[in-house]
Amino acid sequence: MKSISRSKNKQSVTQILSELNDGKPQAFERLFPIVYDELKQRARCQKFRWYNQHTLNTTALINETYLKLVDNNNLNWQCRSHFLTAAAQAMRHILIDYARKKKTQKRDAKEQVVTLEDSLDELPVTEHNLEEILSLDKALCRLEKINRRESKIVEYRVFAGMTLQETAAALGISSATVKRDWTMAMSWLMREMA
Amino acid sequence: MTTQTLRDKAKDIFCQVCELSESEQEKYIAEHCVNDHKLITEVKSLLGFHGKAHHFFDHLSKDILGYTIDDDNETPEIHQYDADPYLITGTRINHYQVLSNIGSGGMGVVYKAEDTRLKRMVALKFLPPSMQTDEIAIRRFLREATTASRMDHINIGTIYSVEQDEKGRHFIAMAYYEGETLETKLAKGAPQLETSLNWVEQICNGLQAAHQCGVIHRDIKPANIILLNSGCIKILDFGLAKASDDKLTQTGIRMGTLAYLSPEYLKGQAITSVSDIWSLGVLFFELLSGHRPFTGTSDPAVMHSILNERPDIASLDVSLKLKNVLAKCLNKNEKKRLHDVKDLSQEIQLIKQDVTQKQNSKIQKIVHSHFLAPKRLITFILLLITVTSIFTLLQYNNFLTPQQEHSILSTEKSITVLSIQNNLSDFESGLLDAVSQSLIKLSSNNSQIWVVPQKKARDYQVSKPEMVKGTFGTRYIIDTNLLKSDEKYSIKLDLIDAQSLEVLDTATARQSSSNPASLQMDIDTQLLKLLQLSQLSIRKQMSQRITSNPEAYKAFTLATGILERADKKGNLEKAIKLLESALVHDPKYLAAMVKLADSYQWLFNDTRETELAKKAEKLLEKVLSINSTDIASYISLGKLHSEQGRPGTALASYQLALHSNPDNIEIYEGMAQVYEKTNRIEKAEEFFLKTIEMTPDNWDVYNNLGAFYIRQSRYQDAVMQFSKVIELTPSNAWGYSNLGAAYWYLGDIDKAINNFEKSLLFKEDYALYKNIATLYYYQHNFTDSIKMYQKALSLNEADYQVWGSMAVAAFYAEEKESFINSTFDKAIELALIQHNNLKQSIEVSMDLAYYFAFTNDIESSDDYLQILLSNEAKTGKNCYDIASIFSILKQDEKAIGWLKKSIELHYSKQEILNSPDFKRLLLSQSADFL
Repeated sequence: MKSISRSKNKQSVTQILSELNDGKPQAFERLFPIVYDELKQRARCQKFRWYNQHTLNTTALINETYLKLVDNNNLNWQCRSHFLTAAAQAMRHILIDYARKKKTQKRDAKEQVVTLEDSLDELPVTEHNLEEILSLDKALCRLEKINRRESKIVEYRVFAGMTLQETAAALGISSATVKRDWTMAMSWLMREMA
Repeated sequence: MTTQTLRDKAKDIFCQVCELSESEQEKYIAEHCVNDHKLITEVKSLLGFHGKAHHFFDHLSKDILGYTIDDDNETPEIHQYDADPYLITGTRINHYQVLSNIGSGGMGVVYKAEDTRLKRMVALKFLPPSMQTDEIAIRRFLREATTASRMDHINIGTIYSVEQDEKGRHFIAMAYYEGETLETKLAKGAPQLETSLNWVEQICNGLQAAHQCGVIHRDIKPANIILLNSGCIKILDFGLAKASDDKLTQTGIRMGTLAYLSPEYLKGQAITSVSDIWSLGVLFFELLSGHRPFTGTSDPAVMHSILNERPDIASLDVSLKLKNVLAKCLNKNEKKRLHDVKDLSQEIQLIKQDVTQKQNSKIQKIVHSHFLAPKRLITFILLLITVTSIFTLLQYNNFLTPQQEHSILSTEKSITVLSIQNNLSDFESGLLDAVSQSLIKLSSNNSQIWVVPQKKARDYQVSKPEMVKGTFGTRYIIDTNLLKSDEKYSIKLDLIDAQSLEVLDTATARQSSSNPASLQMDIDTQLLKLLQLSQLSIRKQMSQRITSNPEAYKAFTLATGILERADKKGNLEKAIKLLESALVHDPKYLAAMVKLADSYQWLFNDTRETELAKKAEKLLEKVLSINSTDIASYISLGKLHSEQGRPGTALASYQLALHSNPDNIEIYEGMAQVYEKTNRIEKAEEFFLKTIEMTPDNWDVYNNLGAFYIRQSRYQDAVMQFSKVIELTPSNAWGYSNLGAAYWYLGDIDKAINNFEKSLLFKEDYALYKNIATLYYYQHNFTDSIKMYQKALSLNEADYQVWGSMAVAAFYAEEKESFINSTFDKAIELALIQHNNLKQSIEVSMDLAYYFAFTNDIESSDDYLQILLSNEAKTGKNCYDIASIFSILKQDEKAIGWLKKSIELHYSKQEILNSPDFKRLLLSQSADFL
């Protein structure tokens, strides 16, 4: 309930992205909060969108956020990859936080009462999905300790839909390696979640 | 460093074998694992989970991303298809000046060029490079182009000539059209029904001309159809598909989608003109619904869908006639399919007529009802009279209504239904609910009557007649009492004046011994008597919804009772079963149908299973087909469509309802909500205001408008509305709490607290206590904050955050140490349980680190702090929280460091300065960065 300032500082995300591309990984720290805030805001009102509105469609969310935050389209696709890694992490955070919030929320049937929490925070994700996401997240945290790269790949692909090439570019490895890591991670995670 | 771990080795082998057949897998494993049993077990274990994993991630990605993660069909966005293979842009080809490249379709490359002789724009279409040497393909190409050029029709793209350039390359010169393809149009969303009909009609005309010439298009799809700015449709690429067909299937390249291909095409059978009709059918479906009838995540999946799955025509929002036409076009058997385009265009003509007829009749009826029917006339006049002169209104109405022995009731009847009895069984609750339902039915046709049902009265904790006026502001109360004697139920109804508390009249609804369902009818009768209403039309309407079948009645009543606690696990499902059985006993039980539809809808809202929404819709349509003026069904339909994301349809349902019931507030409310959802804010506001116009004494409509203003961030306007609510109902807890919320958003903390406190006088509310406590804390009024937290705890003691916040407030209020410690202990105890349930939760870890810091348990605090610190990506708030913890731990340098970080991330300086956690820190250290 403590108020959060919503100062919209239009930092040049484009600039950060090119810095990242120039091999300055510290720029990521500046990128993440902006992407997170924007995605979170965009994820609200998700329930009121009219296409695909019973699924989350993070792909559209992320695309729109990209279009909003990135100034010019002359960035090469590698820069977009960096953006997507931030988006993947942000999306994961948002979904996990939401899943936890839902779990601890008490169901209280009140009509047309304005509560201090926005009712627009509802996401079109089913309880079933939320359970899966939580379970996946737990397993991912464990994977991170064993093979960080694999866990990142899963994060990028599942939460931001990055392609093999985009993931490879973001991590600086070959697509073939990404595919192998992904195949392994999938089975390993599935086993952990069982 | 060079030795691989077990995991790495297993990974190598697993990746190699996962796509092989079982026997090959065994072989490979045997060869490469050479008696390393641990390795073999690990690989086999991974293999075991491989299939399941695929399945899991496919589904999950579909739900989150919107599509399935698929390795093999990754679109190569990165490498653009080389769009100008001939490199002729900018050059001259014969007498054409090539200007730009328009695109590459399935059968070639298209350029925009200027005809230098005739000074007009043309499109030049070249065969793809791979076919330029194929003699047979070229001959076909030319032959087809020649045939196509003979067609002269306004809806067919004109072909000017077939030529060869100096390098011997063959191309076609066609008319260049300025406009959007239907593909682009569809991407922006499905068009209006009339527009779709118009377009398809034009396409039919073009196709007809072609088929008469013996030409089959073979590749009708939205990308091949252009809509000019004038509204004229042009079909492009006629007959050209045939020429390049063989080559395409040989090389297996198919650029573009196969969603529009007919079954016979896919089966490799003969293509005839009816194949064009199929493709047109697919396109038509897409225009009407916004999505394709045959879909899949890969080419084989789409093919399967076309060949085997039935298209979901039933769920389209169109007339039965149109559905039939579509079905005829999409018959998988070419012999049974609609075989002449002429027939199709005739059917469309008829459908167009129906559509325009409907429009006209709607307008007529509205005109009629507004100015001719006497009932409407009275309403019209009443609306002219200003809201405040209700007294004069009464006089006027007394003149109109007949003199009775009992006290004369006003025409404006607002009623609260009270039911004070406790410990009623579900069945008995259901019986009593019938009273509220009957009244609501009455009010649905009459804006002079509005009802507060008994459930709402209970929610607002109104248990005595004297509380009604202050809380709901209704003029009358109907007090209900359920009595039972000799297996028969009866309900005593007392009509009470809410102001004077005088019992104006009383009646008893009874059950006949032969049929328990008769109680329902008697309730209706007694209510009409009590309220001095006797119009036959009302009676008729009410009787249509009830049943005379005792079994159905019992099931329905029990279901109603159970639904009063619909959020209890399993209740919704139980009710659904009961209602379904009620319908088995009496398939015409309209009320049960509507309730069942509503239950399906609630379940759909929870689980989002589309089957449920469809069932609900079907039921409601059924009710409407029996009784086309059943408002409750229209309203339910409207809500359902709204939930499904079909705002246009929702509005249509409401509009239909409006024209037979222009006095129903719920319809206007429903429409306002749909408008709000689709971001048509002015319209939404307009409709909310209409509801106020219709029932200016109903506090609820002001409350709704106020809530709307809050969502729109118009807090001042919201304050006005909520103030009106309080004016009308000075004991209404929600009015105060909502007003408080509006003030909070405006930043007026004092007024916010003031109103919250008032609200709590009328209704104890856990969330509200928590919120006030936080506000007091914000004002540094720690003592009162503690009091509020204690009240909250008296309602719910399982929330660790309430304990924790109370403990922190106690700390700053310098309460007794024993109290502070025991409260922190409790908070920590509960938080730890929470933490175990949600491992690695950042929020809980932060709270634990915070609480441990206060209790001086530095080690534990540090443990949880580590979790926070290891979290890679931090927001401004995270840094702020970490800084607070360091500050409490008196590690000032670190605290300042994190504060700086949080400010860099734009966290509120105001908040930092206001927080008691940093008071000591800021006094002792230099804080010039702030």
